[in-house]
Amino acid sequence: MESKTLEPVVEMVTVTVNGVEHHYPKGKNLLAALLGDDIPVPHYCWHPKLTVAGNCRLCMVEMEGNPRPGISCNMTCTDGLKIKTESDLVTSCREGMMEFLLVNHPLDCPICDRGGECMLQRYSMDYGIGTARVVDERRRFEKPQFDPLIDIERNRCILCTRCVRFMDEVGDEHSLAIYGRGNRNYIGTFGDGPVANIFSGNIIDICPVGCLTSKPYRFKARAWELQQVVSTCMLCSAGCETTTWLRDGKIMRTTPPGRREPDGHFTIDEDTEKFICNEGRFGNYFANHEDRLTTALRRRDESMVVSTWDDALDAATGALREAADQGPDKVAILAGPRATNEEYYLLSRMARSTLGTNQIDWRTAFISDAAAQMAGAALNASDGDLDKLDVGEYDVTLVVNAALRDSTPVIGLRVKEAARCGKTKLIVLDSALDGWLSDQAEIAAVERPGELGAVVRGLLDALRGGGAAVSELRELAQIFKAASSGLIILGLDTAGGVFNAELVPAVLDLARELGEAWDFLPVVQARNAKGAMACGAQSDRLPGGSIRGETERNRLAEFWGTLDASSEPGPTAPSILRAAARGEITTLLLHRCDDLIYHPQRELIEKAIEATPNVIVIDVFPSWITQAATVVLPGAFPFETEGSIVGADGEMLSLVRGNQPPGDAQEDWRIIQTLDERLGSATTYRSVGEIFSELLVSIAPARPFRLVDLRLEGPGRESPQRPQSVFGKAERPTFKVRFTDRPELKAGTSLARPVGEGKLALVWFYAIQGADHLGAYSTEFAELRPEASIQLNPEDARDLGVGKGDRVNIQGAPGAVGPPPVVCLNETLPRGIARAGANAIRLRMGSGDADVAGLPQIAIARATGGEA
Amino acid sequence: MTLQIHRKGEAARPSSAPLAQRKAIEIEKIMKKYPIRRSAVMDLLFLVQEEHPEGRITPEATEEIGEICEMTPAEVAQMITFYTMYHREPVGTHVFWVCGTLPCALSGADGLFEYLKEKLGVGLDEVTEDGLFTIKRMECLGACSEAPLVLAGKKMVTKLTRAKVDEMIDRLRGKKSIEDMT
Ligand code: SF4
Ligand code: SF4
Ligand code: SF4
Ligand code: FES
Ligand code: FES
Repeated sequence: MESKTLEPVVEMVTVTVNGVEHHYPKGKNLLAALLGDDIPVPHYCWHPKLTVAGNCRLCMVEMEGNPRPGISCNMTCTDGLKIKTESDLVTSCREGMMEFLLVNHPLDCPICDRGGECMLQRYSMDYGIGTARVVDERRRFEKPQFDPLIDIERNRCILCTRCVRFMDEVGDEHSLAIYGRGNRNYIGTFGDGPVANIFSGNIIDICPVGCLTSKPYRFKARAWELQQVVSTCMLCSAGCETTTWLRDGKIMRTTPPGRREPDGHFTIDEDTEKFICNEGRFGNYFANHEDRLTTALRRRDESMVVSTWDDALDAATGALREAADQGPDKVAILAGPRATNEEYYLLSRMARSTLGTNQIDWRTAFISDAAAQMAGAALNASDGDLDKLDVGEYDVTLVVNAALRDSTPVIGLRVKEAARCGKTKLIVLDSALDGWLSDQAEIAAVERPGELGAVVRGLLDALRGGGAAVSELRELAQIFKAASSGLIILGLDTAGGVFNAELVPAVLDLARELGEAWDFLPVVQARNAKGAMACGAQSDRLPGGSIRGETERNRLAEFWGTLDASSEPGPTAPSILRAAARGEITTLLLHRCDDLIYHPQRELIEKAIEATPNVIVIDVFPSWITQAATVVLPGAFPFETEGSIVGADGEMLSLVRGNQPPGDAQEDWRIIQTLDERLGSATTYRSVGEIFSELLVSIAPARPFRLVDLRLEGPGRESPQRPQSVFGKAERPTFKVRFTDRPELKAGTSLARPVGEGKLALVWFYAIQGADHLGAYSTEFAELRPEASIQLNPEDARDLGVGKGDRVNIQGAPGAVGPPPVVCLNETLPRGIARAGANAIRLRMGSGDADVAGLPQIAIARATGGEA
Repeated sequence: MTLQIHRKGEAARPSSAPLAQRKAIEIEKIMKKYPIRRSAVMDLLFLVQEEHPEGRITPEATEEIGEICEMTPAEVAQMITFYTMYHREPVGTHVFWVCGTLPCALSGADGLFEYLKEKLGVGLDEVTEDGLFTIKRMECLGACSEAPLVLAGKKMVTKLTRAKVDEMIDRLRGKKSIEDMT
């Protein structure tokens, strides 16, 4: 994005505030400018990310030459403006407004969950008169059921409409409204039903008072007794920054980054684009679950028994050594999606250097070798510096085959927001529209799954001046040509990557054709896929480059003492699993392989584990896999460990350790390090910082990240300042590197297959909502999650005799074993196609050649006994 | 290639709500008056309210109107609760709106209100057993010079007295018009 460096020239104007001259950009919102300069102005209804409502009247300032005060949130900076934020007039306005807002307020702070972080409390102290003159009975509202996750206490509402505007503008749901009139005004949903939106949790932070509060957090704790740990959400690859609030080592809540004010109040940062999704907010309680693995386990006959660390590590090392001695193809390591860069780096070292094998891979979510290969190639070509995914910086954004809302919600939100504000022209190309992102698309094109690649190729033809058959493609080509910059987002794990062979080469060709001003962002659900790839937890890559690279090999050999693994790429995770199922692998190390637990190819995974004599699992929760393992080593969660993570935008973020892992559980990096040491590795690291420094040098030549805000030490016990860069602010590097040049790839064959009689081809994706292994342990949230659903074309639904809201079973093979999903109708779905979150419905599909060459074809029947 | 194209702001599909089919002609006529679909919401609310045997707008109708006007039910319900002349609860065939603002109050509106309640045997907002009457309160009806007064359906009866209340109710019970009352 070359255009980024050209900052538009902003005219500055002089605004006199309390007699002091300030210079602000012309036209900037006055309240924002004042707050940005740390000039305190109380305000309720204004929020930097929402439109101006101007209804709380608290932000009044006195304007010279105007007898009436004005609301600063609705004023812009103009030259010569002279205002006062402190004066007798302003004080009396504030006092009057505060009294007015408190007329009906219950003032039940002692039992109000917002106590200690409430703006009304705070402003009452700062600007209120301190006494109440009201003698009449206060207005009282009934408390409705409302939302399963959000509690409403209408008596506390000050009717600022922030929540309404959030649901209108960001949530795009228009589900909240102000009902009634005058003194009987109240906030609510239609029929007091749920707010029902994946971003709805944000209205808890947005509400300045205690009207909307979190149900899972209700009456659990007070803000001031909590320890805040700066962290990043590990649930999807959007990688949102979060603050985890702990008490006695238990997670009380998760919010976007927050801060403690000098006066002791807690506020969630307003001025950042940091809305998180409900999964990130409520789905993290799993760490509190009592089923956490707290001791090492070893298999004795049919059951797993508690073992000492020493014995377990001995058994694990013995098994790894034995397998490695039999040959490099007898031992394999699969790494899950939620590890840190340091853990991936250590795993890679253990494989390549100590065990001498290239059988290490993170791509467990893909259903075939080809899908995984292509995903690796696409990630390899992704841009390393997408500047916080500021999608508004691009003229055009093209989203191909990505279920963004369902699998990486905040990436979807970024794109949607930019499109809604008219900052980018959004083009969506998919096999069905979600009615969410696609609503903001300038043009949304739907094609049958399996033919999307052909559409991209058609587009490419049109770009090259060829006569594309479809006029819309020529139109799109015109839009692309006219754009001075653009972003291409490609979903890689839709249907386990079955479209990759078709789509990845086509999209990469398109990106190449469009040139340097276009950025490429391939998206997978796996949290730290970019980190895994960069740090060498991918069969064909070493930390910092290709497995074949001489320089990389020499450098790493120096760091690691030896580098025994061959320079031939190892097999991908799907191939490793198939080899294991054939009984060809002696020892398998599974590091936090969440994706395998609810994997649609359950049979394959079961066979692989059964046929492998030694299965060593490092994990945090028991699962059917830990039950079937030979050795289980208990690991740690993000806020229990230090490390670094790569965000979707290519930015490195740090995890701060705020808590001990429970019981005997250990930080994962220590476990891997100890295993490696016992296997005889040459070097030992004493801290994550040491690994990090080495890792930085190792991946430097192709450094795919910007290093920002890294802090690897620190107890995280104080109020979280934003961690500083390891380089210090001044010398923050701002380089832009591509992982590698975009490779030429050969296109696969088309996947269009005729759909059998009475069957539907299922386009499945990894849905985040309530769908995965960790989610199942987040019990506070478990019953409150939206139900699993399946989308059908209305005509198909009619033919099948089912309607909107019906529960259906997905029977036979392939089938689904989850609770019957609810039918949603989607008119944009082509006939014969259904769409669902695979992990939400617990899809079971085969792993034979035919099974992984196309979409699973499912049969649907109305569930008996389910309510309609 | 069977590329299906959707564009931002393209005309929505015709609504499949039963209301849209049942009242197609009326809705068509209303829609013609407004360049933006959602502007028609108030007219549509009156349409369904008048059609309903209990004179009210049901949650189902709220959703249907939302679909026709391209609004969410929450937004439609917001309109209904804002304006007092839309009812969510059942009302009688005839609604008496008794003005209670200051000039009317000073002219004895409260006494007449009590009399009306006693005579009909119902409280505020309730429906008489025969389903004929409901009493509601209203703020100033803009005819203070004629206070006290009541709005009976669409007919305003001014300078109200007990005798006038009796006559009004008798006539309505006897299915006679009150149009000529003053
Ligand atoms: S909303 Fe604020 S002022 Fe009101 S009861 Fe809660 S903490 Fe107290
Ligand atoms: S619920 Fe909270 S955010 Fe919504 S209007 Fe009331 S005070 Fe404002
Ligand atoms: S979008 Fe992903 S990373 Fe962000 S809060 Fe939601 S689950 Fe977590
Ligand atoms: S913040 Fe300006 S009126 Fe509410
Ligand atoms: S006060 Fe009753 S009409 Fe004005």
